[in-house]
Amino acid sequence: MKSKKFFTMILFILILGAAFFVRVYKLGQIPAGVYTDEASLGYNAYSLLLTGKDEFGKSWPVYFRAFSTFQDSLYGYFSVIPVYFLGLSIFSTRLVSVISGLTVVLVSFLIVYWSDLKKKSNLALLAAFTVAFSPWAIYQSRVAVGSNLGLGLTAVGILFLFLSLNKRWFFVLACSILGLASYAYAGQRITSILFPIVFVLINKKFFLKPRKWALVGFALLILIMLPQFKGLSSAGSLVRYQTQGYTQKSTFEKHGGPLIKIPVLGRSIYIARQFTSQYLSVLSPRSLFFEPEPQLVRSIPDLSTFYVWMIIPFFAGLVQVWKKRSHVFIQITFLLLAIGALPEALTGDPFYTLRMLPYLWGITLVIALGIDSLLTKIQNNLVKWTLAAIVVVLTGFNFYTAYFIFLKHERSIWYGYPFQVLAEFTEENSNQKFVLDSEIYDAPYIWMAFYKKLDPKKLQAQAPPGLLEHYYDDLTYYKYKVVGNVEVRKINWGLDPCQDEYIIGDIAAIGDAQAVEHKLSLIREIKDLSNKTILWIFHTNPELKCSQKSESEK
Amino acid sequence: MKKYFRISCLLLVTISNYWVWQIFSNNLILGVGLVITEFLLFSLIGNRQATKAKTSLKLGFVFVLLFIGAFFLRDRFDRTLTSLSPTEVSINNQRYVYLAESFGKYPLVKYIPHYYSTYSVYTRKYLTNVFYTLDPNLYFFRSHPREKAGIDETNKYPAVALPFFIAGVLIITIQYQKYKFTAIYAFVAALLSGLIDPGFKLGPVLMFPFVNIVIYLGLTESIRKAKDYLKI
Repeated sequence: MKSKKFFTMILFILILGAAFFVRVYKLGQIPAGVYTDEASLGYNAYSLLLTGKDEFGKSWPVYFRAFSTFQDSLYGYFSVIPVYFLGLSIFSTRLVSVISGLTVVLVSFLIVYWSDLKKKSNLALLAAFTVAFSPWAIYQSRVAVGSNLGLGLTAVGILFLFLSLNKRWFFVLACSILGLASYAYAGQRITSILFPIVFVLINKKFFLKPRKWALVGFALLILIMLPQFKGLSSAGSLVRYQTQGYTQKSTFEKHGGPLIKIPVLGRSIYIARQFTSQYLSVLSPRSLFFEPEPQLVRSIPDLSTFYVWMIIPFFAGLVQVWKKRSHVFIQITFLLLAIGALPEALTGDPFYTLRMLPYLWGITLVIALGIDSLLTKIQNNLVKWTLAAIVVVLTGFNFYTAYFIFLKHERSIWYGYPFQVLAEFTEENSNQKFVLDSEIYDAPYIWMAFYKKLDPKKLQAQAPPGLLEHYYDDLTYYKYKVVGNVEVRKINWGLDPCQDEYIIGDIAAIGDAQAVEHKLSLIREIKDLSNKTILWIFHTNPELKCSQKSESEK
Repeated sequence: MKKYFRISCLLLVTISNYWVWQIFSNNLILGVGLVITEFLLFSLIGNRQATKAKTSLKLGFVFVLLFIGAFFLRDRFDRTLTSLSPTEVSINNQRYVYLAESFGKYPLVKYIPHYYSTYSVYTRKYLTNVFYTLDPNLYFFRSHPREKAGIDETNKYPAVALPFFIAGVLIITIQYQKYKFTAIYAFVAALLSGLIDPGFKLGPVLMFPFVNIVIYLGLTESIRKAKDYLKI
């Protein structure tokens, strides 16, 4: 018995080690560059570390206002530690997500291992293995996103909920951790409240006598989330709901179609229809097992959230969920499946994985149950392990090509890789002045600030006066910044060609005709990793251009 | 539950959706063939008679399915499955370079780029069609929120049938042994539908009998549960 336990632990450590390896291998290079949200989280962590304030000079904000998107700030706060030890880099910015991903693997193992299921050692290992190597889990662990930190915290909270059935005081810990998770990602605000409520309802007999632990837990949850409730009246905290939801009247008027003509009930039908279709799409085999997420920056080329073959163990797992429905582990899985996708269903984006990570974790556990039941059915060990080895090798190969080769090359533009090259170029030419067109991509200034490791005080000094008083209410996006020797702003075609400087833009910003008209000399083309030119660096010729201009003016 | 009641339920499911009328108004023979398939599928679920009768039913079933399948493959075969668009060729060429950079130096794996730029692309295109037919949103919400570009979907089933559909899928999954033939039919129909042009305006009609049976199973089970609950 002891040797089996030992063997299980050794295998688990191997799985955890492999999960760690696949999450940190070339972490700073793949995805190549950082997405603007990642850059913002990393740079704000850097800013907090050095000054105790964010990029706008706000001390320890509840949300980072970023590009008026009001990001949840917890990831930034957690990142202060790796940034302190490793410096500001792509690796250090993503490290919190790696640790969070590993936490989910650990919790998946423990939650099964401590359950009352039969043959739980094998299932615990399978659960850890499936979570460790599912495409969605690896992908989210290799990018700096608040929702993955939220998932890690939610997983710990769920583990404590599970343990609270043995020792009630764990419920208080669970509520504290879930409350904290609500600061990691907007979607977690809904799930952090619903998970403990539904869990107590399912086990109400247990929690009602004595009820003090449940009451203390809920009181603590409310207390921790209070700053968020207080902030609900600010425009900033509602900005995501207003831009991504579908319950607003304006959205209904725009997209309601024939329902607009139905008085009173039309909007309700529209909302019910939207909610149902969104919820159904997260159950769709097409979305789960075959097609990548529509957002290119959030998906792996030619790879969905799960591998195609996992559809078979998924259905086998559903059978197991039904058969073992009285077990606590299954209750937990059911909670994840029922509640985990709600934030996604309440918004309009199709199959937006960031908003349903707890749900995807639940699906992964169902798949692990299915794999376990299918493996149990194969009696011959040689056949069983040969088959398993073939599937693992082919799957690993599939993932390697899709992620480490295709994603690296094809998605580098989305991760701002060309701006990383540009930042290096501007550092090499530190005595030159650059103008970077602010209208290309979402927020080129944050890429520049991140890659150039700009002194945060210099960025804070550019915040408009009086902004701090309206930090959460001012929705203006302040995108014109000076980042060292780079001015991020609109190109002024009347003045810039007459200055001795470098102008940077994409094909839409600086066309061939403009380059000829303004006597610009092409200095360099910056390509992404698919070899497509993304940025053009031109040098002005003020003597040529402006002498000509003055002659024509004469 | 009495046999006539079950047949009435199935008839209700069959005629109360939009899809059946679109199929019948477009192609009467196809409509009749699909309804026959549906009722054969139904009789295989309920069949408790001798194995001989069951085998005859299955044979009849396979015949009808092959007839409909052949009809489609002749007229509606997805020709993009056997050719590549200029965009696909361009992506393949690029990927060939990336893969060759990564794997080319190892003698045993130098064929990988070739695999990825040929067989893999075709398999993927085919599977795209297959999974498209497995998307429940296609049947209840015209594929919303993941509409396929360039395809104008039509309404197939009223959203009110969705809870019965979900219940039906769960019933088939949980009681797989009992509904094995229905599941096999869905599998074969999805594989065949993968060969049919996804732009076909009637949609993956081979799934029509299966979806109806699933809704029927969910509906009858719900009625049974309601009766038990109300003690009727």
